Amino acid sequence: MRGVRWRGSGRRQRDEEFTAFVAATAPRLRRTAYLMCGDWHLAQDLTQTALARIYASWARVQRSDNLDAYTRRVLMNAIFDQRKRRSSGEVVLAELPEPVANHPEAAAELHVTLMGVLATLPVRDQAIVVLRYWEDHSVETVADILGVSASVVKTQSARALTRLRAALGEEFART
Amino acid sequence: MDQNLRVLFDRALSGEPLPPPGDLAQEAMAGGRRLRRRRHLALGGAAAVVTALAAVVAVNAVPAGQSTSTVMALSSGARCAQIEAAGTDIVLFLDLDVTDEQRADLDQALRTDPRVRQVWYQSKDAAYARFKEMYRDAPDLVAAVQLDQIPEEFRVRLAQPEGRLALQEELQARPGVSTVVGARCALPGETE
Repeated sequence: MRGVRWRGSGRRQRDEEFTAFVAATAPRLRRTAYLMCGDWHLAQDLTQTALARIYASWARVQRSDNLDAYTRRVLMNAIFDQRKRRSSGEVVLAELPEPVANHPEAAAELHVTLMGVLATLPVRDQAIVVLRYWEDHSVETVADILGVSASVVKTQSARALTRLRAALGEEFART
Repeated sequence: MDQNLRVLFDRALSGEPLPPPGDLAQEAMAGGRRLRRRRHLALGGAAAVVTALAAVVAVNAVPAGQSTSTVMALSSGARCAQIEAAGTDIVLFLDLDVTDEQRADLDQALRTDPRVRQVWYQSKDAAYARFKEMYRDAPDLVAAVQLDQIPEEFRVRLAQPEGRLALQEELQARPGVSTVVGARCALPGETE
């Protein structure tokens, strides 16, 4: 169990480094969390939970080559945990919103539709879409973050995009 | 599509409120320290039970008679620390289907061996009772292990530590013996 105890001498430096890390990453983590849950308060809590978990292993992970992907993984796991707890007490609305083509006046609110459709996808597919198309990570990085194969990321993102297209309407798909 | 998706995501984020007051880094560090303390405690306390539960899974997965090694760890573990390098005790777990004759022969051999100072025998019933006592906080575990899965055992204190490994090997080869381990045991009458 190397690294279980932190030596007092290095603690101040460690905390300074962690504080800098939080300043650099928290805003983006919070946005990613918001896209996953659609609630800014919850996004803040999830970000804090993820950062606490990262701090608990900071000595080990701070030198990691892949701190960025690791951070996303911890955040996504915090989101998955939260979703599991929530789903035991809640009915999930699986119905898709109607395509906006039928509601031209709503076209300006496409992003609302997007968030609505996203929320109907399985949580892992939501994560794939957000990591891939908002965070702009490669297929390989997304696979690494979520602990699945690259082919799963490809097939699931294709399927998710199809559903998003269907809900967002032809107009959107062509542009 | 991808490009548009990004634009839409950015638009969805446009209502972003200011972060709540309070130092996120400080709060995360406080939370992280709590996690470490909890993890630390869990390492000490729960590890034994987790190991035991894993062993029970193994016990249930193999036919009775071939799984003594897992159950013996359960019935004996708490009072004997397994030792490979040094130690003056040996624990012999007997086969689950050991015959009376094999048991008597072993007993005789151990008691007449000059390298052995003392011998204790623990029956199936006694081992099972102790197992239940040790794991009374884990009723699922106790329910999963039956009396007939618990091996009898001999505990042997050597006259001197030298030659323990050689004796272990000899004993391992005897009929009726399932497994022999070097150990340091709290023997009856000693404080643990």
